Amino acid sequence: MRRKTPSIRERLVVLVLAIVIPLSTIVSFFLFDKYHEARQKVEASKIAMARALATAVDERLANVQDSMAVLATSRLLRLEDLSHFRDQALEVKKLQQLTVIGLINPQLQPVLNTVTPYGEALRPAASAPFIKSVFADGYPVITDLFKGSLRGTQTFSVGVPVSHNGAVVYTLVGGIDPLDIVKMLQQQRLPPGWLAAVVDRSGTIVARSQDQELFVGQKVRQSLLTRMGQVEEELAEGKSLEDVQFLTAFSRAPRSGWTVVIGLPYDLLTEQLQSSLAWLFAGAIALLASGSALAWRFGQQLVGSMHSLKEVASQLGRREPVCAPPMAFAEADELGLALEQASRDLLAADAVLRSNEIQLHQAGSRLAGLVDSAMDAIITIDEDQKIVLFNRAAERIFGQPRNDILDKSLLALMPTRFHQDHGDMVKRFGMTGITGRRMGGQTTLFGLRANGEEFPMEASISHLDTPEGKLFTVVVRDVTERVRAEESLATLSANASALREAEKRKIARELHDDLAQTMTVLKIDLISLRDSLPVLTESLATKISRMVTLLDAGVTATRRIAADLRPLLLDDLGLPAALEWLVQGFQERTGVACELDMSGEIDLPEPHATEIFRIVQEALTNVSKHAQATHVFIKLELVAEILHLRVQDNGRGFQVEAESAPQSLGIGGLQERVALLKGQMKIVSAPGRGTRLKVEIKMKTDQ
Amino acid sequence: MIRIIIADDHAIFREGVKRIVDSAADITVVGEAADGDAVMRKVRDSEFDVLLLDMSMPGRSGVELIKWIRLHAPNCRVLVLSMHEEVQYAVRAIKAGARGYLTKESAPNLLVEGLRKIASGGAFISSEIAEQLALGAMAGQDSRPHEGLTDREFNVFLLLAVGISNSEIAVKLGISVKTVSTHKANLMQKMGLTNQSDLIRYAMRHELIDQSAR
Repeated sequence: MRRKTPSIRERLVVLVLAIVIPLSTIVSFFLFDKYHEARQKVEASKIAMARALATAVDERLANVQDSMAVLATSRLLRLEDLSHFRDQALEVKKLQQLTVIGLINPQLQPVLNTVTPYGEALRPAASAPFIKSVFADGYPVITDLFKGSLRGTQTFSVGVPVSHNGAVVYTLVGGIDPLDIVKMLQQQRLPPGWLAAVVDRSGTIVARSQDQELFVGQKVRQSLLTRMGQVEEELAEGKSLEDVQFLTAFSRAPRSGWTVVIGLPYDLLTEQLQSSLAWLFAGAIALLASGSALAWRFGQQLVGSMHSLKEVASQLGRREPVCAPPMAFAEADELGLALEQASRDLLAADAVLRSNEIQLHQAGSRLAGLVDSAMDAIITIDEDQKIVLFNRAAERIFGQPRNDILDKSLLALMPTRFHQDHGDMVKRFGMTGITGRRMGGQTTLFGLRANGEEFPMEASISHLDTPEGKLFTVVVRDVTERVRAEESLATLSANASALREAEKRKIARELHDDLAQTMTVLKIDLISLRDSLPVLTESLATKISRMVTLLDAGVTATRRIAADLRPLLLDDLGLPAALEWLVQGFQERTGVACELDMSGEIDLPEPHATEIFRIVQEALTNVSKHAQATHVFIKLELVAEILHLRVQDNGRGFQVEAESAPQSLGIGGLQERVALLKGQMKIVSAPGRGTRLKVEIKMKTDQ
Repeated sequence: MIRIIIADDHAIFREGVKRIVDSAADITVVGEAADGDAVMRKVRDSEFDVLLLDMSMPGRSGVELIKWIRLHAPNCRVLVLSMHEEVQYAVRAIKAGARGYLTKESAPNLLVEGLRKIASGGAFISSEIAEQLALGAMAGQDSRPHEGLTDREFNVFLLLAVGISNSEIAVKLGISVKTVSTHKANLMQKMGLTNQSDLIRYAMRHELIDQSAR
């Protein structure tokens, strides 16, 4: 199964994702980091703010207390000038923005207040316990929130003792409107949503930056109260009385023991982060969407371009003229243009190629015509001996139609018995690479025609290195006619030779058997005539004797002539006897010691016997003419159907290579005779080393 | 009385022979044959002492005929009377079974003597033929005594075989002439040779000549 290759679009979308996701992650981290930083800042500022507010509240209360304390030391009060003291008190009340200032006697009865004009009946004071403690301890007191008896509203007061001679004679009480504190809180300009509250020692809310009316006088949550009882200041999470989750910071004022609580709603704190994250998320989604869309679009354009280019390439492949449409990318356009150029080049090259092909074809045709017009068979084979060219002459000679033989092995054109030799030879030729060498050396090669007929041929081989490998071209000439002519010539020659020998034999026989014999009979008759004569005169006897001598000479001469023509021994007794006779005569005539070694009786058929005899005869003639030898050795033996003849002398020898040697030394005649017997002849000689003639003749068993 | 049969295809020669034996009172011609077949018939059918046989006749003749006669009439005595003076004819005829061999031209002088000798159980051959027969009987053995020579002796032998003198050999091999002579004597003795000619003949027979060429 082939793995599915991802498309460009998929790749591009992956690319967009690969950019957007890490980017979003990084920005998220950055945002969280910012958020934490901001939160820490906020937290720190809240503690500080709470502390500052607490201090401010404390100062306010201290101011009130101090101004009250100063009022308590008023001379008018000592002088019991209460009417004027009231005016003084009114100034202080106005200055300190107090709700009321009252003077309480140790019986806890109000003496005067700033509300009721001096002299009028006063309503009893509501909050007795703290006044009591002022009288008891002689220290100023700041009350918690309580419901004022004069105005009936939530309020708190500062009570300072008025001492006279070490005894507390009055308690001066200043009422403070919680709205003062609220105003203070509001003056802090808290960010919207923030909440600030002031809580008295009992955990009652004295002032609140929001919804003052609703919550003043209420207790804070128990959990906050517990914490406030334990530590001076803290930053914690908690819920407001409205059940809103707040990040809360509180700080207790040291003098008054009141606590300022500042709350920041969680929502407010995380709102920014959430909105940032939301923006980021939206941005990422938008980026993703737009990136994907763009990638999709680019992918589409790219794919479109590629399709167009593919079409262009196909056209190029089909050799059609190419026109690249405008593409979505400059690169694609360039590629298209390049393809167009390639197409033009290709078409031009094609045109050139076609014209070359035509020329080549024409040249090929001319060559083929040339090759076909050759008289000799021309066959080209490749390295695997497969026939790749087979000309008309080859068709004619081998009787094989070209189409049948092409791509077949060259061996198909050879008789089976030559296959092995041929393979070896071509291999050797391929390795040595000697060109134009005649195949098979001296021996005639045989080809095989389609009809199974073998024919003698001459072949030469040459090779050509081509990029596709070696090519061997074999030029084959059918030499049937020549061989036939040669054979008939040889036959003719042999026949002529045989005829000559027969003629010689006949004449020799007649000379010997008729003429010589007749003379012999004449001699016998002459002698018997002499013997039968009654009277033999001296002169008659001499005459008869001379006649007998003449007859003997005539017989001898006749014999010699007959023997010269043809030794009758050859016919009567065979070759060995004839050779013995020849050697014997040679020794007698020349005085050269001559030894004849024949293993057994060698009974050769004609014309072999005659030719061997003649060869030895001529060899001996050569020895006597040229060799100046003292010894001659002749050996004739028949081993494994091969007749070996050696004629060796110890004469002066000669340079075998010398050009003139064969003719002048009578070797030509020998060669002719050996050729007649289809034998091999070799002469080994060197100056001063004698001469050795060796002849080998294959005797046919079927003859 | 010696009864003879004359076998010859030439009638005039038969007449000639008759004229020769006419002079001898103890020889009588009891039959004549002009070809091989006639000879075979006569040998089978006739009573005679000596067959006077020509070597060349129509039909079976010569050595072949003699062999036939020896096979079919072992007691038949054959005297060959031939125009062929070559000793090879004589030797082969004798080997085939003939008792004697005469050339026709010597017949006027020797025929009667020969017939008488053969009729009396003897043989009639010339000294030349006898020599050849003797030579043939002494068949040469094809031994190779040169293989028993030492390397130095063999080198000397090869040089002697191509006719190089003792002193030249001494120079060639870098040894003294006396040493060469000693080697020569030793090798001649080892090989059973008696003279230079034997040595050359031996070398040629065994193709030992050309090896010394270099």
